[in-house]
Amino acid sequence: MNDKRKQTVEEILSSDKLLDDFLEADDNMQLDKTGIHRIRQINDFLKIPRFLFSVREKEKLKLRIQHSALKFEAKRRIVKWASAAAVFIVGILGIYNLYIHLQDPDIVNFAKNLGNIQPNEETRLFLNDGQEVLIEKQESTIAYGKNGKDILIGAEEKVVQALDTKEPVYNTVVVPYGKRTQITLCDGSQVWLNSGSKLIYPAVFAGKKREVYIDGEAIFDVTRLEGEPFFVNSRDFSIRVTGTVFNVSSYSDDNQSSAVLESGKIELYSNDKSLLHREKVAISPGEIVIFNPDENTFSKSTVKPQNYLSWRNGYFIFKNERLNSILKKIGRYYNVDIQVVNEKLSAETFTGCLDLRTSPDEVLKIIRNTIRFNYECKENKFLIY
Amino acid sequence: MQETRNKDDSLWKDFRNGDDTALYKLYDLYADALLGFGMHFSRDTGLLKDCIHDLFLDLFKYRNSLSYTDNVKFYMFKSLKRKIQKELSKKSLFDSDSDSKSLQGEAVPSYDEVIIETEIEQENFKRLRQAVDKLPCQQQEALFLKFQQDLSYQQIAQIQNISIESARTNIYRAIKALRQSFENGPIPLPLFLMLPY
Repeated sequence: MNDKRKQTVEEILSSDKLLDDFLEADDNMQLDKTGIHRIRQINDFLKIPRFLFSVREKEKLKLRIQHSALKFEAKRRIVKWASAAAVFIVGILGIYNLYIHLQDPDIVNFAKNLGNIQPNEETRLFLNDGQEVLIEKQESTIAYGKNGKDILIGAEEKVVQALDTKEPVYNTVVVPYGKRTQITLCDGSQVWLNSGSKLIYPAVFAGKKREVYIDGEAIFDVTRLEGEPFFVNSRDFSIRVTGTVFNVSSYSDDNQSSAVLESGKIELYSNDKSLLHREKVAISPGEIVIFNPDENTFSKSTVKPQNYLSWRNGYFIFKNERLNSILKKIGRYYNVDIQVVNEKLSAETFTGCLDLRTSPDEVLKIIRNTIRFNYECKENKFLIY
Repeated sequence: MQETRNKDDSLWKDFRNGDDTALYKLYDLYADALLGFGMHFSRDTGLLKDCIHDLFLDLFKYRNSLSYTDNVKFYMFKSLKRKIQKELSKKSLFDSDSDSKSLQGEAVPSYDEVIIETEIEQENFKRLRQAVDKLPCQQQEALFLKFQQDLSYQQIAQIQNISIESARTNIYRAIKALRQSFENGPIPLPLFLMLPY
């Protein structure tokens, strides 16, 4: 009996209509009336909902859902409107920003319009009113007074330029190969300008931004003025400075530009403006940043800053530096052309300190003490083989 | 049954086409069933109401991405279960045993007493109540879906995340246990036979 019942139940369960079938079943199903009745009882019992809302609770929850739905709808409408407005505002700001962004600083425009100044034997200082001052000394100094009008060249020579206060007045110093100069700007910042370099700067800094432009190599010792950041612009990047000592090398005939920081803090921004975003890097003392023009990126590494700033004191410090790079620096310093014919030789690296207060001939002899090579000199041209 | 199915489908279609009132009609139809279903997982009516609220609000929010569902009821039960379980797992992070406590203990408002008139039937229903309460949760849930909601084994299996065979076995075992509750009982069988049906 038990077996049979089980069988029947299983059969019934295999149908989706379960008890409807069961109750309609005839006697072949071999279920007694008690069994049928029990199944029916169970069916009735199970069909009755066991838990219910009270009518009030159900309405309350419905109202809550309606309320939330309306709130959501209202929010969606606001978000739609607000996002449209936001897109519009962002667009306007973007265009404005782009406009500002693409705008070069005045000094950079001035530098671009200046064109190439013909190389000369002397260090040249171009002043506002077309005045040009020639400085013959190999190592010279140019010092500005606070008003930007009075300029002291060397220990004794005094020059005065007229300044129209409305327009910013830019002065330019061009240092030929073989010469160097030290400039004290009107704010007390000092710039050591290396051979073959050009510095453009305002006679008097106007406004909050102090901006200069460098082509070549220079060491900056910038006077810290709160709220008046100092910017050094160059071909590849501009450097934001807040009171610091660092070296910039950005020769127009050099593919690579770099900056080395001795103390303080500087930030470099690439000049590439094809993208809305400017490549930016901040460096700490003892770090060098090399700009990679092909990828428009900066790469950073740790160095000894004095190796890069030593030329200011009349010597070079090299660390694992290739001979052709060393000779290029020496050539600039003395304004001589040095060519290495031997490829293998030019790849040799050197480490050490090189005194520059002698002639190029003497320097080459010192280098020859460590590695064997021959050289000949014809009219300021050295050929190394 | 086919009729209610058609009605569900047309309400669902209306709602997807932008008729808000259709959603509230669905609510009127199913709120009780959804609450009853939810009771299998938690006796915390506050939590269940929140879940039902969220379920309908989600339907409202994602109306445009809702698909044509061949059984609206099935769809609602399935997503309600998911919501309740999510809430419970969230809750259990804070107090692990509060839920199991609430599942036992106190009496839950029940409809049976109101409807059932005769004493014998009352006695039998009480017996069944006890028998049902003793069943494993999954079997209770399956009975609810099967008898109160007329869902197919396939749908029950999907909602419970088990195979169709397991869904059948659950129902079978549950029915068997309920029948046994009569056999052990003191109520004389002849009394049942006298009842008209």
